[in-house]
Amino acid sequence: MKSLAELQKLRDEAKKKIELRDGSGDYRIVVGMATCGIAAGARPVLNALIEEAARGNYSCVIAQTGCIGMCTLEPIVEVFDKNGQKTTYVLVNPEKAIEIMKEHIGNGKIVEKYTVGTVKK
Amino acid sequence: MQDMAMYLLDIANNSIEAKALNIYIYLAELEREDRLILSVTDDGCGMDQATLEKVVNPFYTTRTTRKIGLGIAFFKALADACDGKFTIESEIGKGTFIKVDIRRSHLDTPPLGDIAETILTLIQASETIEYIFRYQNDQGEYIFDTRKVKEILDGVSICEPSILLWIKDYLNDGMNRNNGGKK
Repeated sequence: MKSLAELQKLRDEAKKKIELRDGSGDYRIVVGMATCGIAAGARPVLNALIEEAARGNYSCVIAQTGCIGMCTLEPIVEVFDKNGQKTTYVLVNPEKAIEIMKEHIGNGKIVEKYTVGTVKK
Repeated sequence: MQDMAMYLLDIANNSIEAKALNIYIYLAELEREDRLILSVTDDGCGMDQATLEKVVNPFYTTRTTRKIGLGIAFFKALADACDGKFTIESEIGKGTFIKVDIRRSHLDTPPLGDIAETILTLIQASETIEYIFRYQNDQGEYIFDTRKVKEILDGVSICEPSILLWIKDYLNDGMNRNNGGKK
């Protein structure tokens, strides 16, 4: 059973973590969360990203947006690096999302096989 | 949409889009009365009468990325399919109220789905919006309020991943407790 006392503990841990962080992060991850994304399973994808972010030590911000405009390729996850360079991952599921998090955000390597350029070919 | 949680996420996103500061979500599973009720009330920008008449039309949307808007059309279709009633009320500058009240035992009534994950997703979408979620069933009611959580958080963002995951578990616990342990 989750208690409010536990929340206080998490708060204190989060405070320590935030002090160690510099700025808002190296990457910005954006998940499309409009009707098309939701129906295609974007919510579990976002959830997987949040869980992975809580598990590991990633320098990123996770955000949501509306319809990206390619509804048939949802769930879509966009990753922006520090220079504003965008990578678009399509037909993402929770497993792919965790892989993207580990490889792209963790190791700085783009997961080519899930990008829109590869999938749409 | 496969479950009620998906409808909720989609409908509440309209409230976020409408720049709401407070979003009230009410979900009731009433076995005795055989009703399933889901409503969202916000204090966003609201709509005028003309817009209100158009929103149930799948070919109406305010967005520019595509020409159709299915969210509210789907929600109304849910009420039509499940022996239910769809209500939408809105006033410019005041906010919007949207509700479906359907027959719980109807064959086409979808399962609840992961309500806690939907609320986590909504909170994550904008940390400045306050959510008041009220869940009711024959056994009683359970209320979750982000303002209470933020009081404890003392400045730490509610969007911190570890905090969000705690909220999800906390919500699941609360809703389950209300169900006498059965899910």
